[in-house]
Parts: sequence; structure tokens; C-alpha cells
Amino acid sequence: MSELRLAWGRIASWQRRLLLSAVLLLDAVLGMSTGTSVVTLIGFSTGDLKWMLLGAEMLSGGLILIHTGLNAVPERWKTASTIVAPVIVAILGFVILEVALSGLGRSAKVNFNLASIGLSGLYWSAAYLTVAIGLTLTYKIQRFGNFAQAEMVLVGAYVALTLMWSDRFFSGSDAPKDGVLNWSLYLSAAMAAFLITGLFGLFTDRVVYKHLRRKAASFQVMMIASLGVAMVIRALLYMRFSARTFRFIPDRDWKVTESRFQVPTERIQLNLGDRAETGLLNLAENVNPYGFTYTKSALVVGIFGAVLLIMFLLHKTRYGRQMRAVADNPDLSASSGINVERVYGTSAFLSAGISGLGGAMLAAILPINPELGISLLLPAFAVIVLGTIGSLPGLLIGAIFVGFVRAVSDPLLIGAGNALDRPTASGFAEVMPFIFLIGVLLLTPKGIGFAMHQWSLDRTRRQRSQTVIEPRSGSVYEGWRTIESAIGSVTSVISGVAERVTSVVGTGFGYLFTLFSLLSGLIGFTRHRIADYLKPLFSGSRQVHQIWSARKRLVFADRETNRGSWITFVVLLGLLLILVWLLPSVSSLTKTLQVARIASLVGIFGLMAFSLNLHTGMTGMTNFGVIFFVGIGAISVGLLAAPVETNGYGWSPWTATVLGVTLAGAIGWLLAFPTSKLRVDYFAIVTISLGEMLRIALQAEPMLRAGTKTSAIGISRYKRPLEDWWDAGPANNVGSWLGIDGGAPYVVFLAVLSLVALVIVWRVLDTMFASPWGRILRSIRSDEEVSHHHGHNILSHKALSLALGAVVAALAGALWAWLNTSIFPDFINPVRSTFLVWAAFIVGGSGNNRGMVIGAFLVVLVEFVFNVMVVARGGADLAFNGFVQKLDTVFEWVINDFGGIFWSPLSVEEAFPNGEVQLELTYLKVSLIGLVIVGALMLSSKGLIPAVPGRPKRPPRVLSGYSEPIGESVDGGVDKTRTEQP
Amino acid sequence: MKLTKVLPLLLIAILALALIAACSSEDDSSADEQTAPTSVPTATQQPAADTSDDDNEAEVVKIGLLSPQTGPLAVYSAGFEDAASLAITDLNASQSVYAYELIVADSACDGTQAATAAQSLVDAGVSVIVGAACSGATLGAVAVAAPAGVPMISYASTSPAVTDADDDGNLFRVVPSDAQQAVALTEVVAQAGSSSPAIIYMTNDYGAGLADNFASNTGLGICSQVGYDPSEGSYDAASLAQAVVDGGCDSVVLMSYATDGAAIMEELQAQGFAGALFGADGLADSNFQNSFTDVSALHGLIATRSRSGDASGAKANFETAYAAAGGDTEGIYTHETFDAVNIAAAAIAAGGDLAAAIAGVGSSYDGASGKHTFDSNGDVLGTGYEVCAFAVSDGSSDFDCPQIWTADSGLAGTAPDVGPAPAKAAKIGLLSPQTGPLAVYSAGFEDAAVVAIDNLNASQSVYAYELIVADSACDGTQAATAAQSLVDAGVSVIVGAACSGATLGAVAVAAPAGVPMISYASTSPAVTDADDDGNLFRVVPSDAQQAVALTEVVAQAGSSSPAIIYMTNDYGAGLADNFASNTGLGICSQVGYDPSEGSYDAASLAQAVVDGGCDSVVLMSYATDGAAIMEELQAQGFAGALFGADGLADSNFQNSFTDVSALHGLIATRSRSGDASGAKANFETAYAAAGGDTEGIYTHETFDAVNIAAAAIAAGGDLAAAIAGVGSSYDGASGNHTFDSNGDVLGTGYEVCDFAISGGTADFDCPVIWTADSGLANK
Repeated sequence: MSELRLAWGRIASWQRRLLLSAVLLLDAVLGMSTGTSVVTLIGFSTGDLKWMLLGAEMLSGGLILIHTGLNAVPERWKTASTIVAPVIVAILGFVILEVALSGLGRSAKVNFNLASIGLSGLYWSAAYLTVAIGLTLTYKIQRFGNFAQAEMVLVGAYVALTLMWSDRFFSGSDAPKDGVLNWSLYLSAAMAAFLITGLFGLFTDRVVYKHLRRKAASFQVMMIASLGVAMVIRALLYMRFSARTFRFIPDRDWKVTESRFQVPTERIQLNLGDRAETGLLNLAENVNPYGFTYTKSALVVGIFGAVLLIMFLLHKTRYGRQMRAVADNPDLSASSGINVERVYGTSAFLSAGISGLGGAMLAAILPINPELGISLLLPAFAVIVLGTIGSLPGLLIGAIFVGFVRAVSDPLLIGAGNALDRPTASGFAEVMPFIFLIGVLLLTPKGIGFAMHQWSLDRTRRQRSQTVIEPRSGSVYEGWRTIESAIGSVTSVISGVAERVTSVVGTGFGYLFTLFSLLSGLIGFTRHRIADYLKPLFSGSRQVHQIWSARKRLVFADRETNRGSWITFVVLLGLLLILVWLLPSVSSLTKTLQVARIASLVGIFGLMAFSLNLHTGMTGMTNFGVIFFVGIGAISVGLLAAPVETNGYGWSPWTATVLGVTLAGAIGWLLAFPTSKLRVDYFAIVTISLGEMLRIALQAEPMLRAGTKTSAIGISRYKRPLEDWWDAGPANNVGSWLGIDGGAPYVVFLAVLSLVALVIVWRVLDTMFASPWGRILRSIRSDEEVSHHHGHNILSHKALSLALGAVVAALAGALWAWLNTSIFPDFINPVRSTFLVWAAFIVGGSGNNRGMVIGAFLVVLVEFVFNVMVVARGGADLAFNGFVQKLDTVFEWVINDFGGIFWSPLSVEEAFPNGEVQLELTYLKVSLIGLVIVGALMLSSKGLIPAVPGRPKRPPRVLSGYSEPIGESVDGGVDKTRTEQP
Repeated sequence: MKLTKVLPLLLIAILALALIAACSSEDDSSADEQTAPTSVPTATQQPAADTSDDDNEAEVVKIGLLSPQTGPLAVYSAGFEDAASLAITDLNASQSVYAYELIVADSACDGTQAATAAQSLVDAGVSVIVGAACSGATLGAVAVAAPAGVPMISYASTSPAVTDADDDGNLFRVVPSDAQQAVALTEVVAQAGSSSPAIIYMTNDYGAGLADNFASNTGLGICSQVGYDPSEGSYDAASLAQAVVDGGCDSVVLMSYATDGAAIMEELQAQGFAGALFGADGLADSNFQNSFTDVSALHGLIATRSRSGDASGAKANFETAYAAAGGDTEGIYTHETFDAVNIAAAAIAAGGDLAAAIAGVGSSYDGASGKHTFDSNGDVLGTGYEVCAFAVSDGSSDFDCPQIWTADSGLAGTAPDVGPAPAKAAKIGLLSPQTGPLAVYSAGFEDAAVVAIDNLNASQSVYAYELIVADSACDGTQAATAAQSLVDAGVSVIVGAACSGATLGAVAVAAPAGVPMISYASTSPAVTDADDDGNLFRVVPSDAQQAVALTEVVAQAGSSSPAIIYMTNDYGAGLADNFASNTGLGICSQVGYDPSEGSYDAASLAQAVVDGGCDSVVLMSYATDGAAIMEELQAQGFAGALFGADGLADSNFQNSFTDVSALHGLIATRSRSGDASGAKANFETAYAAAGGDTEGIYTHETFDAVNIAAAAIAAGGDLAAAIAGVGSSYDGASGNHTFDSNGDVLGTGYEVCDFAISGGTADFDCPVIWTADSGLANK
């Protein structure tokens, strides 16, 4: 046995991989064509599950093969092979389909309409680029992922709409179709959207991000702050423009059927699987030309043009060089005389402006409402990751790739899905970019842009060595030189002109910048004034003054010591509990329900935050897929415990939980292997993609439906643990103790269960963090390489951390399933889960489980607290009712009188068709939640209860202008992402 | 820096202070208004309420409304809220025992969010919750509301999952489950004659539930099933439409909401989809047209929606009041919202256990949305569905629901008629000999075809027939090219060609493309045996018959040694051979020539006949060459009798002459256009009105061929089979036609026509007919 192992070890690793992949592929192909393979032998001999497992087996075999092949490619072909890799992955997908369909004896007809694919590919690229270009700029220069970018698109869209409703343009947009295409509104809207959205971006940068930068807030804090900003913007748009959908119609002629390019096309019919009569490829005859609308073409031209202009600005102008210098090293740039803040301002202006421009153009294609941005945001992240974060040429290529994958996947999924009894498969088109991205990242962990960068470096190097070592002569070479010098002189002229232009523009920016510094100075000034006024308030009496000056010793001793941390925790917890106690309710039953629900949610969100803290706070893996593990837990618990007669498995809830938790753990553990080499932000996108894929699977996969006699989406009617036991006995006892007639509801038991789970997990995790293993994790977080040199097996530690966190999250998922009694795909929506958990994690204070509890509590509670205000409009006796009436008056003044300066009465009528300008309190709530997140981070950028360093802190390095130490050391915040810019 | 550490606490403290202030103000207000007890109607406070009744003070009762203010259904939330407020206003105006208050919270179309909102409603003291809209939200909310003993009445959750929810009898809904609507929809689609519908549906519980139930209930073959996520920016309407078009589906069933549905329908129109369109209640709303930029794409949509009962007083009252409040009475689920609020209020007024009271009220409840009776699951059977149709004219849509479907009796009432416009484009190709030897007749063929198309389009509106003409040039190669362009242009059937060689050349292209051909003038026997896979038909009989007729005509005229001048193409040669083998007369001379201009010499042909000393000439020619030969014959002094076949028997023939006198005395046979039938008379009237010459050659046949093609397209299915089906005892302008297995018709015999010249114009007359049965006879 051991000899065997030794012999195995002696084989070169590529040979081992080759062998492994050959075995996997052979087994899968055998299983598909003959029905005998390892998968079938271990029990999955029938059913859809067998085919899925075989497909997965074949996919992994193929990926290993491709991976090995890529590694074996000689160095000089590396870049080319990297760029070809996606194509190979796609071909692999086709081969798997082909084999599976032949095995099933079915045939799939896939219609590829060439013009349709090509042009919608371009359209998707442009739509994703709209968000992605801003993301890339912020990522490159300001170094954080800006979640508010999608809202900038919306701002642009609504600027266009407001312009359309203006007195000047409305007559044009409402004119009849006269066959004359009118450009004036379209162009004005695009420009106005660019300028106004740009200024808006600059404004948020000055007001929010500048302060965070000054506090040297980490990348993640900035990101979550942007999440809060996004919520505020979305809520403001909701308030002003209502939830209705609107279309931007620059001129009715833009929308007539003739406003399309009729592109002649060919239709290729791909016949996969069983094809007795047809060939693999058929060319269809007489295909109607494909109509591509002018509006889509304009978006494509506009966005790609804008990206090219940005590239020109960055690479060919002096100001661009400054921007790149700041992107590389802000401190060094500052010391070499670059006005870093001005560069940040420009970048904020440009990234918001271009997204706004795209938004205005997008509004002419899609109906606009404030929810639009979300669906573009996640694919945009996929685009920038595929193109290597921060690389502009990579961004372009990534966008085109993702766009085409999206366009090709529609017909492919429809064809294959209908053949495989999965007509819903076309729903997966939305996540195909993610699936594709994950496939590519596994092969080239650094993205395509990196490969291109490397290639251009190599080329430059080669060119240099060529010119030095072997200066060739000969007419061809001379000719080339002439052309080259001609191009050189032309570019120098252009860049000379551009330099002039940018210097003028730069001066403009200078003025803008001055304006905004004045503004922010004003804000800072007033803030200090207010603080000065507040101070005497607190120090009015002598005693209070003493307490004020001695507060360090008292409550807030120092939140970064163990004792101070605990005290803060207790105080905050107490305050939050008081809030819960203060929440109005009508009877003891409803109050019990309310408290029980809050407690359950705190338990669930707390567990999720623990999981995130373990992955991100302790191990340094930026996990955006908490909801993925939660979902696995919830879905398995629901599916396994649902009745057999309705597509479930009829297990007991406990065994279902055990299996769900184990499954999540196993998946977490396995996930470590392909992803361990990924950069943190790439890991983030992989995990967020997994969540989205799970959501779509819940929508589209018939095997994940249970609980109704018919095949409705979702899982319901599953058993909950000890429900009968509770109702039979303890319910009455607890009920009478709480003063409820007829027994306490089951949710009380769930609340207890959740809190117990929370406390146990907390205890276990704290013990683990304190153990040597916790120190290893922290060392991995701060520097993987050093940790590796110390002899730690990074991979296995990461795998264990992922598995453990997944288990905790899956437990939260099980509780969630029980609390909600039904599981619908929307619950995996990252906006309503992952992002909130991240907010809890950052606001609470990453790296500290006490902070997790407080953060989770806060995130859960704000919803309830602000809902008090939302419902207040209904009843005269409800709290805040009078306040709401006053709010309405103010709101009406803002919309009609103040806003009337900027927009026409028509635009108000469109949004409030009944003529009743009323504030929809739900949206006010959303904006207040956003403000709480932003406010909390601006006040305390390390979170409410920051991590407690394991050893005494070094005296802080005092830098002028910075109030807290930058580059937090081993035990501080998570600050690793900044070191790894390509 | 110091400040920042205090501020988080300050933040929370402010929140707390706000709440305290709120609570205390609540206390204050209740203290101030001691005379008006505004607290909740719990059992303990009932006596207080009673006393206040005596003082004519209304008891305050709160009803919660879960409205999808954010999320995918946000667009409709305003309508729900308006309908609910209207109900509350009405209730408060009509009685003074209770003062109803409506408390709205955002269910966001999401279970978790809806549960939190439901908790806030419960905390605010609502007695009943009306909502939620989305099924997932309803199920999430009921998990909170049911334990709190607050019943829920959903006004829009149609998922079958709601039926089985664990609600302790607290969950009701006034809309029937989707399972039923899918059945109604299948019947509507089947009724409309659709055979392979595509389903485009949203992958949420509403769309997927409908789609699954539709697919499992329908007996039709589903052409393609396409799911998409309805949030804007995550689907591409163009690719969805393209998938349906590429799949070749004959109709589309849309399970969508308004915005996405409109986008998809516009793309379907733009990509040339011509099939029928069906939708479910997500679309069946008169507001739906507002989601369109080009309303014409909406035309013809047939959509089902939950039937708002028979026109009852309750319905009329609601609609009047709702319209007066500025609402749109055709809005989706507004009647249901109104009813749900009213049922809730009635149950509160009934007192006792609320869930039981709701069940009690909801027994034959006569509401704005129909008569409702809750079953033990809280479901209503519903009063069936309405089948509505959108007809667009002048840029606005006319929305009408003439038909209803009920579980008991299926579809009843007149099927919705979507009006004239959405004619499906059907292209019919015409191969006309615009150049070449038969060019002179082409105008007649084309005119006849145009008359046929015009008549067809005027008489029905299902199809918009288009005629696409290509030049067959009486030549196989040219005709094949022309046929290819017709096929490329997307014609369904080709009518033509005239010359037999052209027809045979064209069918070699059309048959593999699956485009059947109906020739109106190719009489060659070779056409019978063409390798056409059953795709070639003709409405003219084979020449084999005409040759017999011609022999009899020649014999009757007393000719003894006729010469035959024939074109060496399949028409001419076929006729000549059949003539020669059938006639008992001695053939004086048989002269063949290539009819293409420049390759024959009319003078030498005529000379050959004259030199042979023949007493008559039988010409199997087309117009141009026939005229040239006859002029040469006259010039060479030929004085014998002249006979011709149908290539010449046309009153237009005289136009091919420079000296018409050469035409005098020609006797020619031509296919007989049947007995004077209604069809014939109609054609001739219409044709004459259009300026055509009713004596023209093969115009009746062209007209019939076009009509047969159109009828076959309308019949649907395999076109060649449909043509064979239509062409069975087909009573056309050119007679009664029945296709045999070769696609040939027996024909109704031949006319024998003569030309007499007087005053420089030809007088064309056909006094004699020949039939296979009885030979030559006078008309």
C-alpha cells in the first residue's frame, strides 16, 4: 500500500493529473453511453441525478485536462493559450452535451442565428460595460468596489427622463412618428446625464469616501459604505420618480419598427445527441434578416467610444499619467507633487459620468424603474474580474466575452433544455457569464487582462532586446521603421493636442475641486461647530464634565482592549434591547411574536455574520457567498423534509439538517481546492456567482421544487423540528407564563433554538480563534507566503475554515427555512441577504464575534424600527402619525416648490399621477437604513466593536492628517487587498 | 476623534429617544383624547367600544395591506393601494360603527421582507391583513400572521403552493389557483387553432406554475419552452423572441408581467413573428398598452384573466367609484383587492373568531370580482376566466373580453375576434414569362394573379397575401434561378411557370426547398412525370389531350396533309409527337425549331412548308415566333389552312404581328375555362373591371392557381398535402379541378377559337368546344 503511494508520488504531477482526468472522462463517457460507471455503481443508477453527476464528472475531468494542457504550454505561447482557454471550455461544454444526449437517445436542435448572436452579444457587452467601466475606474484609482455604480446608471437614466419631460423637449419626444429621426434630445440627454451624474459622483466622493480615505478605511469598509450610498440613492429615486416604469423616448421615430438596421443573417442549426437523419451542422435556408434597433447601436457606439476615450486619457495624456501614478502608489504620487485628492475627484467624476451616460442611453432601450441597476451590477463584476480588475483593455475583452457568452447561451440553453426536459434551463442564461467566468478563473487564476498585460510586457522586452542585439537591416525592416516613426509622430501630435485639452479640462476640474473642497470644508466646519455646541451640553455640569473627560476609563475605555470591547458590547446590546422593548405593539401575543421574530432573525443573521467573520475576518477570504451556503442548508432542509408525495423526501427535520449542514461543509471544503490560488477579490466574485447560480437553480431546476401537488416553484410544507412536541406541551406553559391565551406560538421555540445555536457557535468559534489554529488563520490572513514558509499547509487550513464557516451558514439556513415556512428563489437575492450580512459584518467590526452579534442585531432591528414609521400613515393613534403628516408637507415642498426650479410640473405629474404628492414611507425607510450604514462607518470606520489585538498595540504611527494608524498590523482590520494590485 | 467613539452610541440613543418620544406622544394623545378611545379592539376593550357606540363614536379598526412597493411588481402597487383606500373610504362613509383605517406596508415580493412587514402590521394592531400580492410574500407573511391570529386575505397570489400553506386556517385568497387558469388557457389556445405553441414564461412561481400546468394540460405539442428572469436588465427580449422565431413555432403563450411582456411582443413583431399570441392575467389589463412603444405589436393578443363575475351591482359600483377616484377599472387585481378589504371589514363587523368570520362572510359573497365561496383551504373556486382580446387601431388598443371560461362548462360565448389587422404575411410566388417568347402573355397572367390576391385580401383578414413575381423567361435555367429568388424571398407556394421547360427547371429548385408549385400553363406531358416529390401541380391538362383535340379540329377542317411546325421544347415537341401519333392524316412535313430569338429563321421554316406543298400548317409555337412564322408564310404565298395550339389561342396574339392580316384564318385550340360558372363569371367581372381582357390565355388558370395556393396556406399543415386537399373538385374560374396523384387535372376540354381580321384588328371567337367524352360540339 505504502509502496503504491510512494510510486504514485514519484509520478510527475502533470502525469498524475492526466491520469486522473483520463479516468474521470472515461468513466463519465462510459456511464453516459453504456450506463455503467462508478456513479451508477454507487447507487445513482437512474434518474436525473445520475446524469447530472456524470456531467459534473466529465466537466471536472475535462477541466483538469485543459488545465494540465495549459500548464504544459511553453512559456511563449502562454498568453495565446490563456486567451484561447475560454473557447476550449465552451467546446468542452458542447462535447458534454453531445455525449449526454447521445446516451439519453435524445436530440437537441440548437439554432444559432449569427446576426442575432453577434449583435445581442455586442448589446450585452455595452450594457454590462455601462456599469463595469465605472467599477474599473474606481477599482483602479480609488481601490474599492463601488456598489453604487449601478445606481449611477439609474441617475443618468432619470436625468434623461427629466429632460424628456421638460418644457423644451417634451413636444419633441411626444411628436408623432414622422419618419424624421430627431437627435437633439438624445444627444442633450446623453451629455446632461454625463455631467449631472458625474457631479453627483463627485459629490458623494467628497462627502462620503473622502472622509473614509482620510481614516485609511479598508477596501471592504469603502465597499460597504458604497452599499449604503447605493441604498440611499435608490430610495431617493423611488421617492422622486415612484416605482412606475418609464421609457425614455427621445423621439417616437426611435421606436418605430423601421428604426432598425436589417442585418442579413445565417442560421446554423446545431444538432446534438441522437441525430439519425440530420448532420451535426445544418445551414437553414431563407432566414429573415435580423433587426437591430438604432437605440441599441447607439448604446454600443457610445459606450465603447467612451471606454476608448478613457483609455486614451489614461495612457496618452499627462493627466492620465498622474492618475495612473496615483493608482500605483498614492503616497509616492503625493510626495512627487500630484494632487491626489484632485485625481480621486476626477476619477469619481468620470466613473459616475460614464455610467450616467450609459444610463441615459440604456433608458431608451429598457423601461426604467429604480430596481434596474441590480441586475446589471453582478454581471459587471464578472466582466471586470474576467478582464483582470483594473485593466482597461482587459475590461473591453472581458465585456465582449461575457456579452457573447450571454448571447450564445440563450439559444443553446433553449435547445438543450427542451431536449433534456428542462425547459426552464433558459433561465440559466442570466448566470452563464458567471459559470463561464468560474471555468476561466479555474484555468487562468489571474484573469485575461493579466495575461494580456504580461504579453505586452514580453513583447516590449523582446522588441528592446531585438533592437539592441540584432539591429536588422533590409528594406522590409526599414519600411516598418518608417511606418512606425510615422505613427509615432502622429501620436505625439495627438498627445500634444490632448495634453493641451486635458490641461484646460484639468483647470476646469481644479475649479470644481476647489468648489467641493469649500463645500466639504463647510460641512466639516459645521460638524465641528455642532460638536462644540454639543460638548457643553454634555459637560454642562461639573459632574458631567468629569465623566466626559474620564470616559476613557469608564464605558469607552478603549474598544480595542478585551475589557473595553466587552463593555461596549454590553452597552450596545443593552441599548438595542431597550429599542426592542420600546417597539410598539398591541397585545402580549403580538409583542411575543415580535420579540421572538427579532430574536430568531438575530440568531440567523448572527450565525451568518459569524460565518462571514470566520471566512473574511479571520482567514482573509473575501466571501460574498454567505447566502450560497445558507441556501444549501435551507434547500436541503426543506427538500428532504417535504412530504414524499409532493416531490420531497419525507425525512425528519433533524436528519435533514444534519445532511444539509454536512453537505454545505463538504462543498465548502471542496471549494477551497480550485479557489485557493485566487486573489481575494476574485474569490469574492466566484462566491457571489455561486449564490446567483443557486438562486437560478431554485427557479429553474424541477428537482428543487417540492411541497405542492402541482409543480410550483419553491419548496414548502416541510416539517419543522419538534413542532408537534411544542404544541402539545411547552407551548401552553410558556404561553401562560407570557400571558398568552392558547399557548405560545412555535416561533418562540424557534427564537430559543436560534439564540442557543448562536451562543453555542459563538462559544465554539471564540475557543477556536483563541487556539493555535486561530493564530494560523490570522497569519494566513496577513500574509499567506510567510505563513506558508512557516510550514503551514495553507490549502488545508483554508479548506477547513471554509468548511466550518459553511456549516455555520447552513445552520442559519436551516433556521431560516423553519422561520419562513417556505423557500422561494428570491430569498437568495444578494441584496436582501449577503449585502445585509456584509453590512452587519463591517458595521459590527470585522474580526470580532461580539461585533458580529451587535451588527446583526442592528441590521435586523433597523427594519423593525423604521417600519414603525412606515405603518404610521395608516392609523391616527399610531406612533409618528403626526410626524408623517409633517413629512408629507416638507416632501411636497421639496418636490413642487424647490424641485420645481430644476424640473417641469409634467415630470411631477408623471411620477404622481393622482396629483397627490405624498412621501412613500417605505422608500424613506430604505434611505434611512442606508444612512445608518454610511453614518456608522463614517463615524467609526473599523466598526462599532473592532477586533481586539492579540497583543498590546504598538504606539500608533502618527501621520499628519491621519487620525488612525494606516496599514493595520497582524491583528487589526482586514487590509490585505491593497497589497495585490497587478 | 474622540467624538467618533461616542457617536455610534449617540446614533442608537437618538433612535431610542425617537421611539420613546413616539411612545410617549402616543400616551399623550390617548390621554388627551380620553373621550375617544382609539385603542385596539381587543376582547378586553370591547365594552369600552360599546359605550363609545352609544356616544356615536366609531370604533377604530385597522386593516393591513401588504403591497409590493418595491421589487418586480412595484409597478402595480399603486393600483392595489388605490382600490384598498377606496374600499376603506366607502366603508367609513356607509356606516359609523367602525372607523376603518388602512395600514400599508411593503411586501417587496419576497418572503422574508413580507414577514417583517407583516410583523410590523401586527404590531400596529391590524385585525386582518389583506395581501400579499406575490405568492412567496404571502407564504412568508402568513408564517407571522397565522400565529398572531391575524387572518390574511390575498388578492393576487395565484400559486398552487398557497393552497397547502401551513396557516391554521388563517389564509384566504379571492383569486383562484393558477392550476385552473392553465386549463382555461389550454382551451383558448386549442380553440384558436394553434398546433405548436411556444411558451415564454417568467421563472418565478407565477410564471413557472402557469407554464408547467399549461404544458402538462395541453394536448398540443409544445414547440419550445423559454424561461427568463423578469427583472429589467437580466433578460434580452430580442433573444427570447429570436428563439421562438427560429424554432418555427406557430404561436406564443406569454406568462409575463406587463413591461417584460410588452418588450417581448415588440421584439416578436420586429423579428417577423406572425403567429398567434396568447397571454395570462399578467397581461390581461387595459393598461397593458401603456407598456408599449409601438402599440401595434399588441394587436391580436388573446389573454385570460380571472373573471370579475357577472356584471353585478357590486362590480358596477366599484368601477364607478374607482373611476371617479382616478383609477383605471381595467387594472389588474383591483377588483380583488377591493373585495378582500370588504370581506375583511365585514368579518370584523361580524365579530367572533376572525378566521371563522371570514369563512362565514366568504360564502357566496357577491363582490366586485364575482361570487366567492371559500373552500376549507381558503381557496375560491373562482367564477372562471375571461378571454380577452386586444385589437389595435389608430395607435390605441381596444380591449374586449367577449368569452368566458368556467370549470364546469368550459369556453362559452363568442370567441374573441381580434379584428382585421394582424394578417399573417403569406407570400405567394408567381413565375411569369416576362421575357422570352411568351412575354406578351405575361401581363395577363400577372393581372389575373393580382386580381386573385386582391380578392383574397379583401375577403378575409387572417392572412395578408403578397404576390412576388419573378421572370421565368420560358427557360429552365432562368426559371430555376427565378424560383430560387422566390424561395429566398420566403414564398410558401409558387404559382407557375407558364412554359413547361421553365416549370420543370423551377421545380428542381422548389421541390427540395419544400415549396410546392402550381403551374397555370404548362401542358407538356413531361410535367406529369417530373421528379417533384409530390410538389408539382398544374391546373391545365396535359398536352396529350390537346393533341387529340387538335387532330379532330384539323380533320374536321378537311385538311389532308398538314405540316407541323413545332418548337423543339417539351411543349412543342410533346404536342407535335402526340399529334403525329394520333392523327390518321399523312403528315406532310414536320419541322422543329428552337424558339429562342436569333436561333431560328422564320423565313426558312415557312419556305420548307411551302416547298413541301403541304395543304395546311399546324403551329405548336409561342406568340412571337408563331407570329413571325405566320408572317413569313403569308409572305411566301402560303394559302393553306392554319392551325395552332394554346400557345397562340389568345386575343393578345395579334399584338405580336406587324401585319395583322397574316393572322387571318388561324384556328387554335386552348384549354377550356369550364362551364360558365359563378366562379368564372366572378373572375371575369373582376378581371374586366381591373382592365384585363377576359379572352386572354390561361388567365383563368392563373387566377385559380393563386386561389388554390392561398387556400392551402390557410388550411395549414404540409402545404403539398393541403394543395392536393384543396384541389379536389375545386370549383374555379377555369372549371372544376381535381388533382390526380401526379398533380395533373383532367381538365374540362378545349375551346376551338378562330381569328378573323377586319379593319386591321383581329376578331377572336371561340364558338366550338371539345371534350374528351363527346368530341367537338358547338357551344
